Amino acid sequence: MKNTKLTADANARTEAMVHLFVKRTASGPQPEAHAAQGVEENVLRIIGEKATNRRTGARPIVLLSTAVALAAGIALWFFLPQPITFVVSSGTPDNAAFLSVPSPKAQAFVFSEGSVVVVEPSSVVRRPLTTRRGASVVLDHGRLFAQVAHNSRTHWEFETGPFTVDVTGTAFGLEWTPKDGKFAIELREGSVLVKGPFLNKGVRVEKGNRLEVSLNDHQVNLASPRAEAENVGLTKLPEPALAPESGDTTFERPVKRATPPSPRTIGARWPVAVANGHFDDVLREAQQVGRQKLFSTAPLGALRAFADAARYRRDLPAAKAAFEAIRRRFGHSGDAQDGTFFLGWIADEQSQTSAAMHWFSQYLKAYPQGAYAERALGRQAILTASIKGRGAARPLASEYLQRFANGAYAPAIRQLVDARSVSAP
Amino acid sequence: MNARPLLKLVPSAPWNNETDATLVALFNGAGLSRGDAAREIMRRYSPMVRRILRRSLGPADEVADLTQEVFLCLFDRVAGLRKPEQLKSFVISVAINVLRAQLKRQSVRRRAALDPSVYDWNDPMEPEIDGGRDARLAFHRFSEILGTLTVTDRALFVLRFMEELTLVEAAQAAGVSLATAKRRLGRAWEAVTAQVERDPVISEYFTNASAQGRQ
Repeated sequence: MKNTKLTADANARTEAMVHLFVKRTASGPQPEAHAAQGVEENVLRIIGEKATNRRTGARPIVLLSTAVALAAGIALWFFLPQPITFVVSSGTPDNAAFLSVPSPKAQAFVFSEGSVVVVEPSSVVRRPLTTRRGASVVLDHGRLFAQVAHNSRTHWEFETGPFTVDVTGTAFGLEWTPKDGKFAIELREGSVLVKGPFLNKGVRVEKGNRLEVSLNDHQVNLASPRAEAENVGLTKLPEPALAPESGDTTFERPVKRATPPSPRTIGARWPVAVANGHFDDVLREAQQVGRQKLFSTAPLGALRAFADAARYRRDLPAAKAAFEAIRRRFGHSGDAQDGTFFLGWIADEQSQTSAAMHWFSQYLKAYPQGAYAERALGRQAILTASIKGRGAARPLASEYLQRFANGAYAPAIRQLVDARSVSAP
Repeated sequence: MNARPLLKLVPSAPWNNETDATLVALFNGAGLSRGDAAREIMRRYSPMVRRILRRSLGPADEVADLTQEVFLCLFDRVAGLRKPEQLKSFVISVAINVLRAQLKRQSVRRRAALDPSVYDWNDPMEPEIDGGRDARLAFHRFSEILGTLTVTDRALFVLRFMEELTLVEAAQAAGVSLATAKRRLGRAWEAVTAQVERDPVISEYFTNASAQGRQ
């Protein structure tokens, strides 16, 4: 369908995407095909039973059972609590995934059961997920103040960085600075259970207490008017140092015993983030991890996601380093195979023609039937023509047309082959 | 002299040659052919029903369940079909009604946070069949873009541009007038195109795949 208000290019792209979509959805995945096999038999059995029931007069019983079940359902619906809803004071659109609060104005989430979460200036929170009993709020960075309405069945959860805070009804301030790895929570009312690095099974923080954790300094501080503030699972450390002026209880953990986040957990969510277009989030989190650590310890999925995020954001040096790390550490993986092509692609983008041809040639030699063989061969033919002349490019061009007659490079390569009137230099 | 056999086995009637109207008549009759007619109707139309559901919902487990729901609903109502020769249109409109109900249920579940993602295709990290990772990611993004359309717009989009029904057939199946279908399809196309234009993953896919753009 062509729309005259849109450019021809825009219409063509959508048509191409529709074509891709139609092609890929022509048949379903294996589980669907498998499940479909039983559908026919089920339908035949059910319509057979219905016909029998009609003949034997069983219908009134079925109708009665349905009516009873319906009445029970309606009664249950009225008695069950309704899912919690919320509004945002700024009137942010309902479908916004993040609430980013510009300075100097704070914003509030007001929940239908009476809880309020105030997000302070220069902070970012994700859209809360609500249930019938509570909600889950994720603070990306910055500070918030929460007043959670108490109820016997309330369950709220706050997440920030690697920490989670379990809440059943309380008021507290929460702070997270990813750059410095600093977490803090201060209780105004009630109590919460905080879980995260250095906190073992979790620390219960009560009214008037302030818990601070510094990931970079490996410190846990529990400041309390009561020095003997209850802690349920704090790591037992050799000689806890007491801060005399403030009365704060300071626990110092020796660096050698510190347990940094496992490399396996680095970037666990990045593949999904990339698929959803959150490239900047991935790049920002990678920045916090550090390039050296990322490239030497991160799992393959995280490396590939980072490489793609960098590629989409045109950070070509970062993408290049990531693909090199994939090839170095996971040489036999499919991503290493893709990496060979993308190193060529990056070199091509950076006008490093010789390097690009080297990588494309490597790719075609190692993976002649690879997913990117068409693109590698096409670019190699075009680059060869630009450097060595059309005569030198003709064998590659012929091979391309023979293998990929309808490929993306076919029109350009046909020109190379057909332009016999132009003599090769 | 050879004795002629008294009984001879013959193949059953070739059901695939029957018209839709005949199949409906056979199903509505009380004879032994009822089951065979139902089987042939499902053989004829279940691939199309599954395709429509899959393209509108994603390849979720419920595609098979919903296909079953479509045919149960169809066989319940087929007795009242005034024009049996229009069985195909009837099947599509039943499928669209079932689809609407399902999307409504998903919407409620999403609001209750029981089902945060309703348009979840396969894992983008899964191995690719063809087209490479860029094509897979672009496909994934396009699926999400389709997921932003309203139920009726999405149904119209799938029927017209993917199932290639005529405008009249698509409008009839979606239960809207021809003028409304035209207006909604134009709006849906514009919305999808605008999002396709803005999407960096899809742009990257085209940039890489286009020889013209690279030169």
